[in-house]
Amino acid sequence: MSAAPTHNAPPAEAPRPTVAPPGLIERLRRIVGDENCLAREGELFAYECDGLTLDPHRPLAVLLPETTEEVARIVLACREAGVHFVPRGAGTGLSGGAHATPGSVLIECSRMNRILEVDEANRTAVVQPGVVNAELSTAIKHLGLFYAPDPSSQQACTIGGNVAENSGGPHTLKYGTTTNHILSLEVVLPDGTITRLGNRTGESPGPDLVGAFVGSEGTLGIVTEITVNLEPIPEAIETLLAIFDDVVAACRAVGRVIRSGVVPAAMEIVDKRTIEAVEASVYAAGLPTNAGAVLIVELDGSKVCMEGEIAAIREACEAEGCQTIQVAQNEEERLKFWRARKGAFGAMGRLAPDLYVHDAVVPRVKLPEILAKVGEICDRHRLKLANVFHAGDGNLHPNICFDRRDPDELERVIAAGEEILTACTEAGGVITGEHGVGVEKRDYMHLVFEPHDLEPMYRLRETFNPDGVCNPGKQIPTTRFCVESNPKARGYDEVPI
Amino acid sequence: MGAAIESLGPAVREERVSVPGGGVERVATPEDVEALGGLVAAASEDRAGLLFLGGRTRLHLANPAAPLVLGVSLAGLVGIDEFDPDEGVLHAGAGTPIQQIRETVAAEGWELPLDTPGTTSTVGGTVATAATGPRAHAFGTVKDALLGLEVVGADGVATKCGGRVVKNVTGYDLAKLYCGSFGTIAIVTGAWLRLRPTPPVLRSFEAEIANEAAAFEALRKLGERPSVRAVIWRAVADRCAGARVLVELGGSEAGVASDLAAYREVASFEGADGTAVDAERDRAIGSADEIEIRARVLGTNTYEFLSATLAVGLSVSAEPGQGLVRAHGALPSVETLLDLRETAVRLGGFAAFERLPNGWRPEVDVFGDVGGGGPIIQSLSRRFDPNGILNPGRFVARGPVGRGV
Amino acid sequence: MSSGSTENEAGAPALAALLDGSVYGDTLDCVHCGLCLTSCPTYRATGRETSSPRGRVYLMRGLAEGRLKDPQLLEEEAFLCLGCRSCETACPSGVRYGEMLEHTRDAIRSGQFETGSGQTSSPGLAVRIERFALRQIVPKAGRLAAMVSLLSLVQKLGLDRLAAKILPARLAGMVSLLPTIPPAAERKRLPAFTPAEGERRGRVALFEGCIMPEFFGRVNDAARLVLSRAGYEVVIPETQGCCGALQAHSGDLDFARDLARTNVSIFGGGDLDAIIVTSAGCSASMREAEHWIGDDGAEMASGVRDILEFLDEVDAELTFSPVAKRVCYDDPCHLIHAQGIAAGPRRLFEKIPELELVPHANPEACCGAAGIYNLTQPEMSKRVLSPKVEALVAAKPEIVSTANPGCAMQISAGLTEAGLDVPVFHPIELLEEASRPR
Repeated sequence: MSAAPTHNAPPAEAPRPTVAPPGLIERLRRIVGDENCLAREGELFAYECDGLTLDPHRPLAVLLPETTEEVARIVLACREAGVHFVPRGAGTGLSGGAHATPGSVLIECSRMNRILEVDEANRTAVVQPGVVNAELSTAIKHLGLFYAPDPSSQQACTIGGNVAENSGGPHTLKYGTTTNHILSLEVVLPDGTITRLGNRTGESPGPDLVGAFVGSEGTLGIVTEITVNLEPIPEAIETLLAIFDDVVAACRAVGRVIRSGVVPAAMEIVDKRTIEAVEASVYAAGLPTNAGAVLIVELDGSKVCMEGEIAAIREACEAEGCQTIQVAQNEEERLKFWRARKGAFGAMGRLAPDLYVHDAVVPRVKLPEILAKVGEICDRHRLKLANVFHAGDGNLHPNICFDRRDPDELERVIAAGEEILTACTEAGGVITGEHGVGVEKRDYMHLVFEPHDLEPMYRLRETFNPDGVCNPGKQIPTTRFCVESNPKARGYDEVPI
Repeated sequence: MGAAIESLGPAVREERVSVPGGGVERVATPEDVEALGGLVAAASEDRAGLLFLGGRTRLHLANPAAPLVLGVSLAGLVGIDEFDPDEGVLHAGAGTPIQQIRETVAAEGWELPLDTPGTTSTVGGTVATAATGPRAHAFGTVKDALLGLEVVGADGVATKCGGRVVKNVTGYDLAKLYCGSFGTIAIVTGAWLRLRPTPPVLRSFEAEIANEAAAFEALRKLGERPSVRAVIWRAVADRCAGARVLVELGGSEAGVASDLAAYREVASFEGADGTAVDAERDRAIGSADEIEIRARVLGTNTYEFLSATLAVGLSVSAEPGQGLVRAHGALPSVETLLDLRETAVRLGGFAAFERLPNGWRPEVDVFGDVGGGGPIIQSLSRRFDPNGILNPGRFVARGPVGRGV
Repeated sequence: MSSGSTENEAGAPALAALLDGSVYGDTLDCVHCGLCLTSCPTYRATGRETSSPRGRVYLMRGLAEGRLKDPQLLEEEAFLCLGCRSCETACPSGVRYGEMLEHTRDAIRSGQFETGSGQTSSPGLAVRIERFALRQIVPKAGRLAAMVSLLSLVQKLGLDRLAAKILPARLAGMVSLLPTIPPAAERKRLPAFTPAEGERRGRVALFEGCIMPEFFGRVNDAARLVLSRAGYEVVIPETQGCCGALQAHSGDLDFARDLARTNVSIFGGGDLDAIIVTSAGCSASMREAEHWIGDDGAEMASGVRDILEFLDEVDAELTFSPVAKRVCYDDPCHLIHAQGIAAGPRRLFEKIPELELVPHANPEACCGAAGIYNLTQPEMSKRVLSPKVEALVAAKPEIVSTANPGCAMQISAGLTEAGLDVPVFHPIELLEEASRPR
């Protein structure tokens, strides 16, 4: 009845080079200059992974271009040498999207870090991809504007990387993710041509290629210029901290808040395990360790609305049995409230050499049952877990600490991860909300999609990247019709000890 | 009809549906996604052009059709399958009327952030044509409300993308491709939509304002205020009476009052009928105007474009803060129309000609140049619909190829 | 444990083994999140992962584990690092980068000096001269004073300008960094005892340092006077030595440990409320005494206070006359990042009537001085300095103030080159002037 897929499986991959083909490095040096072409052993070693330390690969070379034209020339040089290339921002991604693939060069945008234009009246800015997320907001603060997407790594991650990953952050509840703030892109396509997608109004008739490019994890080409939408800095910001006896009540309070019509900028829950971990660490924020969960709500908007909105939050929390609600009285207190949330990463990071920051999303109403399930899974695998989550979005981040030098523990971490993802998808969720698929979750795509659901994704990739030279093997499984879960095939068993 | 379609023996009824450049005499209404898939696969085999039908409110918004064999109504894929009022998301079939969803969710304190003109528009048609209304100011455009889509491709295979959760980067964001593609990439069969809580207070206001750049600019800036949902600036060429401005505010009592006070500093806004924005939104449905332009330009250039349309005798309904101008009426020549498009492009955006005299169609593209994305979309279309059977001719991307080094 | 612990042919421990024994355990605290990247001046200047804290820690770890064979890059990077420790402020996992850097440099230099062969390259002439200077001149007050007198003569005769013309660029650059050497009167030893003025609130020792008395004797003197006005007796032990910071930063931890032991014997045991230090670099390293020499260093480490920190902490009662100037304060790395002192100095400035503390865009970033970094890495030092100079020029101050001698020299040189004729003072100099009895 339904037609057979229109595409055939690609031909078997030729083996990838393990050293750069003769002449390539020299050609690349001529393009970017000696200082910006890295090819010594130590240099390649330092670039073997991004924020995901599993599954590292050393590139053949690392290029640090400064202009769009340099990027295009690098792409052409690589094509002619038959070498793959992988774009990279600051390397803070957590799914390995910027890992070199075997026999590839890395094109890192850290030197493309200029803010090219700020149009105050139209609230837009044009930036190079290496501009650091937080630094754009700092640079435009005096105009009363800010760039809304705020991934937790915003002090270091680049806007180019954010475009690749469609990064979110705590404030996406109100402001949306990166895709909602990108108006237009200049890109170098995998064939080396430079082209512009979209226009400065953010809308263009027909399929939205800008929207498709955002979140494509660098597999469709290399972003070289980004036109972003800016937001006015809200007149008032209020931060509340509510302490609950149990996490289910906190989740229900979040539901009540959302239905009340108040749209908070952020709603974050820190669970009991996390409170214990944070309070036992140098990041202690003075939270009661017998609390079941802490809910942080941030409101922003007109001054005149704050009183009413705070009252609505109080009402929602009290209706779910919350005993203690504090409103931050000053910036110091506001930061203290957030420390409970942001300290989780550091507190967990100190407990073991490696930290696996998971990312999955479930329908918000399913959060309580998923949390219980995730806890049960980690207990069963004897793993230390802390949960922080963007409660308003149903986006959870189980943080698991481990030591990758312990093969048994590593195996348990991977097994637990798979069980967590399975549980989330069974609850109607997905395997990543903001960290991306990368190499980390590529082989779990089958938990969400049937093989035929991936076919249009291949078609999109082949439209931009027909011969697969740009960031191959990321986001969707490399070979079609072969998406059985096989974590071993991902190289975890090759992690050097 | 071709052999493969005939062999399916689909239930077709005789019905004439005209579209620019052609039409169909018969319409099939598949009762489910599987039947639709079979029909599309057969059409692919027959290389038979299909015309997909939703609420039929925007069929005029099309370039001349390539030969069409059969109309396919999505009215069979109707219904709200899932709606959890606690979760605030909803799944509906492509044929489900938007109005039905609005009423269903309103009863539970939610609103659907799709402001499609007309009461018969369907989910599928809204997504395919990316039909927005004035509340895009607060809602965003159609793609912003989409969490996930199910589609049937030109090969007849049903696939899905996205999901039911509000934050999701699992795989490519294909919904962005399907939305606004006028059914030329794949056919939407169902959608997961994100709802918004209904604001506690909703009020509309109206004022008469001098049709001047300074006043327009003042309103454009007020668009940043948190409770603003829609602002419509209406002006007519042959009257020098000025502009009538309609504003809809929504939020808390205090928020609406504070924002209204800001508007009253610009002009004396008085309360308006609560349905005023809806009426304005639906104005173009079944309109007798020969020309209907929808243009977006850079915000600060909006007034300049608005003036250009008034100067050639069109009436306008503009949205300050959105950089959006809808102009309608009649024009003396194709050249005047194309000049307006050139102006829109120069001012940083584009102009789509949503209504055109049929005689002008062969030489005027409805959508215009889409820039560097043009050749990519053409290549995309060839990959997704190699036999050219999905709404053939309706949307063809134009634009220059990129530059080399 | 790691597999890189090998010995080279000469039987001396290779760098990998040295790292394995010292920093390896600490490298595991880094979860590779990258939040440190933008805090790092050399990463900002180059965009290279290898010139970032995360990259350097990864190189240390890689060598120790034997996954990285060639030590050359780490040898370069360990010394290209400014040691400003901004990354410690940025790190969510509490990685002790400064300590790891010192151990790494020490391992590299030990390998070079002790084996001179095998995995580690032999030390170059510049490294040998540097070590000689840091061991034989800087900590020996008499020799340093003699050398400075000689330099003073050179400046008086205008030979420095001649030198700038005839010397190779790198050496000429060093000469240009030298401030005008103060007159001999400012370079003489300060009195061993200064009584408290007014009601006695306590007794403190003042640590003079090695370079400070020669180039910034007036800063120590200002501290002495302000402390006395605030009611503190000030003792200045004559035999005190160098803090060891420069030696530790250059990879000579053993020698630095010896200096620390000397200081413990001089400052230990007295009836002191605090050991006051006017150079942020010195106070930061004296606070490390416990890490360097164990329990013996604990008492001194806990007694050390930066002068500004101390005056803020005890809420010193001082009467200030107005200073109607626009002042930009710049945070020395060794104050803000190594000791977490940022608000105190600003609070003190706010006590001076009519003084306008003007914020500038780049107060927390390293200026590129970093001990003797501006001498050993002149090119990178200038690149690191330039954003700070730009920010200061934009802020249009009448006075620039920073609490570390190296930073003062570096910033002053940068401002001069940018054509901004503005004096650079230590905050204590301004506090002294404003608190002078009228």
